[in-house]
Amino acid sequence: MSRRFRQFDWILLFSILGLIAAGMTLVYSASQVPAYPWKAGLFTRQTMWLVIGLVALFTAAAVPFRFWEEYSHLIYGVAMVVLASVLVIGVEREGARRWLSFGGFQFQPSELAKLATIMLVARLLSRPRLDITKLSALLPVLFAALVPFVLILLEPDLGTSLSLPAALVGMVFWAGFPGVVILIVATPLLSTLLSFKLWLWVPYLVLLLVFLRMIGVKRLLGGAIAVVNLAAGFAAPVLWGTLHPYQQQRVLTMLNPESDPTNSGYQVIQSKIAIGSGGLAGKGFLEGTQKGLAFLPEQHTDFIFSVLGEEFGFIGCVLVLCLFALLIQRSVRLATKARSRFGAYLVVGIASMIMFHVAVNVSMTVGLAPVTGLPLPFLSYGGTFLLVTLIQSGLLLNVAFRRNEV
Amino acid sequence: MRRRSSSSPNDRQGRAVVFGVLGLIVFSVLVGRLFTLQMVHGERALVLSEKNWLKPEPIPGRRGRILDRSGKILADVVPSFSIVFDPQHEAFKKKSEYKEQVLNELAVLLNHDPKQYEDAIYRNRGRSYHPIRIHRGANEEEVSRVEENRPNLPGVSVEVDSERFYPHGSLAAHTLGYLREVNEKDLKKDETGHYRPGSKIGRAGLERVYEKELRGTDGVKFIEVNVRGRRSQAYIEAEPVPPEEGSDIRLTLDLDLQKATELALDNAPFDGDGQPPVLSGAAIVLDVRTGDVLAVASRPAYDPNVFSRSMSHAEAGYLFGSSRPMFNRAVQGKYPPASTFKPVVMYGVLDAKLTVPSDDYVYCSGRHKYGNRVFRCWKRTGHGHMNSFDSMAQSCDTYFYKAAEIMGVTGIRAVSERFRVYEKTGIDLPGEKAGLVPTPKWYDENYGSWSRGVALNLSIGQGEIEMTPLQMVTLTAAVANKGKRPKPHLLAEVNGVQAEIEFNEPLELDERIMRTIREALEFTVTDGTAKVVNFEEVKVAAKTGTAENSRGEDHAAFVAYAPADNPEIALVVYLEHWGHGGAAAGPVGRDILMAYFGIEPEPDPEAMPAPASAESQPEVLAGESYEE
Repeated sequence: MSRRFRQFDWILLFSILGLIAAGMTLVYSASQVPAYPWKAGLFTRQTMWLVIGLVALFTAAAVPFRFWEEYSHLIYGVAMVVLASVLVIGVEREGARRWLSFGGFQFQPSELAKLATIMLVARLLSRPRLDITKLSALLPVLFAALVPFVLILLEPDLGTSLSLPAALVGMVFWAGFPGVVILIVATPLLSTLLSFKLWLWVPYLVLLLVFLRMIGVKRLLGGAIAVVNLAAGFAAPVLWGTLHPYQQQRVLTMLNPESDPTNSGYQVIQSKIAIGSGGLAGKGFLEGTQKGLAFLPEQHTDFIFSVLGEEFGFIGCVLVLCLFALLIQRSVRLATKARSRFGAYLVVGIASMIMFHVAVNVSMTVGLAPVTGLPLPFLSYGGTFLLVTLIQSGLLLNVAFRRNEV
Repeated sequence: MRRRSSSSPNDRQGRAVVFGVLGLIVFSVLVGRLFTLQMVHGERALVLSEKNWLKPEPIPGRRGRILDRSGKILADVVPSFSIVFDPQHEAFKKKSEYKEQVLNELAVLLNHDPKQYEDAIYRNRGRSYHPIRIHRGANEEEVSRVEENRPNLPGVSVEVDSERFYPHGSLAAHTLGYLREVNEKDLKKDETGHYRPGSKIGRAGLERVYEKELRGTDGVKFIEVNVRGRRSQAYIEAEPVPPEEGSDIRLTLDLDLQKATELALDNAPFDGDGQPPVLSGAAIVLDVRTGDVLAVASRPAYDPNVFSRSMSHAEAGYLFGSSRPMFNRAVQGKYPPASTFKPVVMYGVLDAKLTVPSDDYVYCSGRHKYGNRVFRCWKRTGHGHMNSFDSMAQSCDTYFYKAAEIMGVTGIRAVSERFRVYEKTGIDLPGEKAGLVPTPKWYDENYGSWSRGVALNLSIGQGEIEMTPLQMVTLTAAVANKGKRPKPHLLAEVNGVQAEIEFNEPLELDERIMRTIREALEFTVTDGTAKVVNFEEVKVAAKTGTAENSRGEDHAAFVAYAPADNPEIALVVYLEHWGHGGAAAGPVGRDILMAYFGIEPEPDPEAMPAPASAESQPEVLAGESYEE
């Protein structure tokens, strides 16, 4: 027992606690807005969820992960049924069905479903003598992830669904799937996205060719990859252009309902001004002015990072990013040390997902990525999301605590 | 490509490095970006955040109109002028006393109490940059006076809003309702973002019930303002979000009939001694086939337009005064139905075969002894031999006293349950009250010991029994409609989408008995107490009622439906302390029926059905009861 404690990763625990504290501080600040009196109750509700979440964290950490491995099938099954039920009995808000409502409580099953999927995939990957490069090994994994992915897309909730492939890629890569192949599979998609900006697309194609030469792909295969990229890049803007503007708008809103309703980047501009105005040390706790004056109704959820930037400045931002970096680094280290393969995959999946969330969310608030409605773990307001983040933390600690167990 | 196995520690290390490198790239990019934003351009952002705000200026979404059944406007939206004041105007930066001086000058100019401005400014504290509407609904003269003196009045300006306007004034005021500014509680409750400080919200009547349908959604335009709240040059192009208009709603009300109903109410002849009190009461006209409320009025009334402008003390005093003009007596007033309740009791009598119309007569001597109490028929000299049929038409109380002796409180309650007379009708108006037909248990709980004699009062619709005028008219409609009880409603259509017509569950009644009751009600018009509506043009069935009460003149009640053979409408008129049902409420019913059926008043007084003067003799004095 004492050995367990000696080997226990206190730094991991510290980073988790630090992020929770930062999150509660920021949600409190974001809830104090005279212009939006209804926000005052947000902090109380978040505190309530924190209490529930901490109980869940300890439960997730205390029950040996062997248990989670054993029952991952069942958990996954239940999660999928609940997720599917949202489409039928979910509460509709702004054209999307994402929440289940019990009494006054609103609950977002997609977050839990993603975690259940990570568990099942971790179990599938940890089968002995598994060769992930074989289709027979890869297909069940892909299918397990595809079901929740499609269900979440149907809600629709593009942002939430995107972090699932991110976790999957991380885990499959950890299982020994060649990174190069992952990159090459991703190239046509990248080409489609970049093709809307010619000055990005042309250098991208050049780089792709250089890359293909460098890794020594056979000429025929390399040519095929290049052609697919070229075709995707040409076709996308052309097909897009044949749509009427209102159809384009409809597709965009369908894919991404959180996108700026003014279609003018207003939220992002306000977020950038807020963050920038924080300077080196920030304006101080509760001293932020943009949250009250600006038209940023989502500041307590997706744009919480802008509160951090404005009130705690560059120093605060870097500190929080360091906490995240620490969390990821300790998790990856844990994955290399854990004797249980299931444990390692679980940790990798969770870490990949958190990393994806942080990268996309913070990029969005600083204007580097489009507005997608992906919340920031630990920091964003949102009951279910906090709950799931804390369960994930509990699972990380679980593996850390039992890293010598198989 | 090399085959890798997933468990060798070296491979694990290698993949961990890939993760590390990827994480490091993300971390560096984000920190680099933050450095640019906060350290390199931080100063500029700080200036922007403190000196320049993109101020979202709401573009109000126009509220929907309320229309009558044929599309005539009952509640409109019109432009209105407000005097606005900006307490943070730069002129007040140095000297804050100057602010008071300006407000005082403005008050003198407009003949106002400067206190009301301070109230408005206080109410709007916390809204740091919005100019405050300190006087709404300014008229043209006030606007021009302010405009002329603008140079001396820094921070004061005139803004054009759209405002609710009720073109017919107090017409159907209780039904339409009114708007008020949202309060802090509304804002706290609201998570839809539809309301801001200063937004209007439906507080009463249909404005409240159909708030969601009527309200528009505000749009937003973005104005860049500097620290003084003044517009500065646009730095960022932000496209406005267009507002959405609220839906028009079409009602079942018929404007012409509503006007006629209100006029008839206001002309109600007072049938009592001395000075008439403030006319209080209600009248409702219902389409018995659909439950469409064609007209509904409550007295005293008020003009809902006063809520759109700054209200004077006198207006506020009237609105919140002892006559309670905002109380919608049509659905909230609970009154003894008096003899209009007798059809229900008669059903009980006939259903239990207590008496048979053809052969079982009751002798009315004008007095009826029960224990040591004497209950009197309204006709002191007595009606003589009466069967159930005649007793309805003549409103003979003695007959009903006899019936009540046999039925008791339980029996009367039981037959009331069959008619569901005390249930809420479910009309789409706020605050509808349920009625009361007491049970023995109710008497136990409220009175402790009680005499079975209370049943005698109940049988003539008096004592503890209470119904709203809406319940009375719904009961009448159910009688007219062969037991099919319509669900009264006011909404016909939202944005061109027809509202569903609903019926309450049908009353399971014996149609043979109902036919007898309807014939008795027709007989009441041709030969009984309701001759006031005996028209040649259309056959009417009706019942009068007079409720005695200790606090003044009797309440007058009148219910009717017509045409008797194929009923279209049912109506109720109920007037507090206004005298006898036939004499005071009957003529109101007559006027309404004449308006609906387009009956011209006959110039020949001989042919005039029961003129009001003839009514004033106590022909219909229902249910006095005396204790000896």
